[in-house]
Amino acid sequence: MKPKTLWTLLFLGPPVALFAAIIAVPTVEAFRLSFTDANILGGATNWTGFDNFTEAFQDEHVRSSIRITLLWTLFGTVIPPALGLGVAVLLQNTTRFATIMKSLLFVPVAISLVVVAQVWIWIYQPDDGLLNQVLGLIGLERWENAWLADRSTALYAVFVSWAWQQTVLAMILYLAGLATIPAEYVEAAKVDGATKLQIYWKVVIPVLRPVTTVVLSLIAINSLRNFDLVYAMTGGGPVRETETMPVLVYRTLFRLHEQGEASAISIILFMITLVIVGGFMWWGRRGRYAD
Amino acid sequence: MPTKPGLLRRTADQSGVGHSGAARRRQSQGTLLSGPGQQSPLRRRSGTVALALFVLIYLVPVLGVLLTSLKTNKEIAARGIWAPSGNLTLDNYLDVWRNVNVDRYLINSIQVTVPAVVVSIVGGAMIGYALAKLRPRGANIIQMIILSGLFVPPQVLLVPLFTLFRERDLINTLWPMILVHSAVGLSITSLVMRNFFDQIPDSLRSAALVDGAHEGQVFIRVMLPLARPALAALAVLQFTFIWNDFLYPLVFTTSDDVRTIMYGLWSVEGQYTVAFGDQAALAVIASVPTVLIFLMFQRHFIRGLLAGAIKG
Repeated sequence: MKPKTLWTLLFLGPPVALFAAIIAVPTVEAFRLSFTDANILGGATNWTGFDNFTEAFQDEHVRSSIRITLLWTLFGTVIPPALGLGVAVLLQNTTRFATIMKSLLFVPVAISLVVVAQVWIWIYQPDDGLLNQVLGLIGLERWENAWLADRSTALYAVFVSWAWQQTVLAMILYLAGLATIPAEYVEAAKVDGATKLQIYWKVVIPVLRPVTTVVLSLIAINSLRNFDLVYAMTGGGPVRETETMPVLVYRTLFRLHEQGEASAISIILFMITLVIVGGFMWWGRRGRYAD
Repeated sequence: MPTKPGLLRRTADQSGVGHSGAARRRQSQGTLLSGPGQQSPLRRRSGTVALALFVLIYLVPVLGVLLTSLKTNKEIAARGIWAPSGNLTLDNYLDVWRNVNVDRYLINSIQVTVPAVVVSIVGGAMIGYALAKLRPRGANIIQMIILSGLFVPPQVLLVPLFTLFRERDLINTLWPMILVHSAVGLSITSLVMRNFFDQIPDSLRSAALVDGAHEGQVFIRVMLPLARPALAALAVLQFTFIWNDFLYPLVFTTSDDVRTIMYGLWSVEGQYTVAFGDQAALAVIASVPTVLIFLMFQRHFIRGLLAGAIKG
């Protein structure tokens, strides 16, 4: 063997083996299990074809979790990126003070979703939560609510706390992206008599397209994987009103012990992820002639 | 001193709905990408105030946890979590340290995070270097397969991995968390490192080889030192991600001896038997490492996030 081939094997071998053992092979195994009636408690495992999938699509809980996850991803890829871009545009100042303020604003991204869950539970508390207190102060007592216990508001309440964090993530990326836009682009547009709005719409946002691709892909992935926050805030309740697909997979696996069914749901989630995130990446690549 | 008109004008400009012609003209000369030098001192001051106010409101949840952790539990019980407070104390921290398994949780978190960060980054650098500089046949296929790991939801892996670790008697040890985080991280680290090594000229490698170094020495003595910025970026990214994880300790541990700080925090969360002040103190303890690292190295973190997809 040539030394170069040997070295290639040495460099690639250990990390690729790790990846294969923990990610690649288990992913294939999940596909296989999704066609069986495997049970975590043991017992004979039978090949059941597409039964798990047809059952999944007929099960109201699975359908509801798909709906919740898609809704979450839709809101997630619209609201935090838009707000994040807006805030980033307003915060482009480079004074010392602005820089310090910006670093402080980054803190929500550094903290765990478990911590986010905790503080927002306190904000939404029915009796002395911050939200109800503020509503009371400004004379809107009748809007006060048990936000996380009310079936009609729980999902949106959890989403707001999530958007609070993801907006900062989008903002950070857009701030970095804005800093890379050459000043000449904007100057040229100004010389041509473009209004500020036109400059943003026609120059800044198109130039930011690669950053937007990263933001959307990242937030879509985060949305589709959303487990930690929901599980810590509501556990999927009230009455499974906030049960996202990842929470349902966890429940199916560890409460109902059904590996086959859990695998099938997780594979559906995988496929949805491929389509949505792949779509964003494809959209991002289409615009690359601009480079 | 920021005057009222200044403050109003500035906020109108910021919201982008300045209606007067003067305001619009000022905007168009505006601050889009220019430095602060072109603004009048008055506007800068009022902008500063508006910015500080905005940041303050946005960080109310963070400040709430911080303040609650410093209040006496008697006061929280009497006046609620969100009441502004006069007398602050560190009692909750001492309390939590004595009564909750905090030191064990922290040690476990460190024992999971540090090896997983190191393995995922070194592994990613090895893959990235091999693909970028040794260019084996099928390099792009290998890259594609490893990159596709980004799309695999953790829930897909839970079922098979749980069986795998149970068969090897690893449930309720730190190993599942270390192994999974190390492997999951490879997708992003190998992408960033490959992009990085792609930009380093081949001549550097050949020169070192001519001088009698072997590939291993080129990698360790020449390439890794050059890659320090990329490695730092990935370290911050991975540290934040792994330290904050809650799913894997939830799934792969069954006793307190092997649980991480985020699991510990979750287990007391929303429990009425654990005083709110103590919960808050625990949340602050759990967040200090990532917040500190993030504030110190935030530039690296941002670069880490952007690096992969933009160049890739």
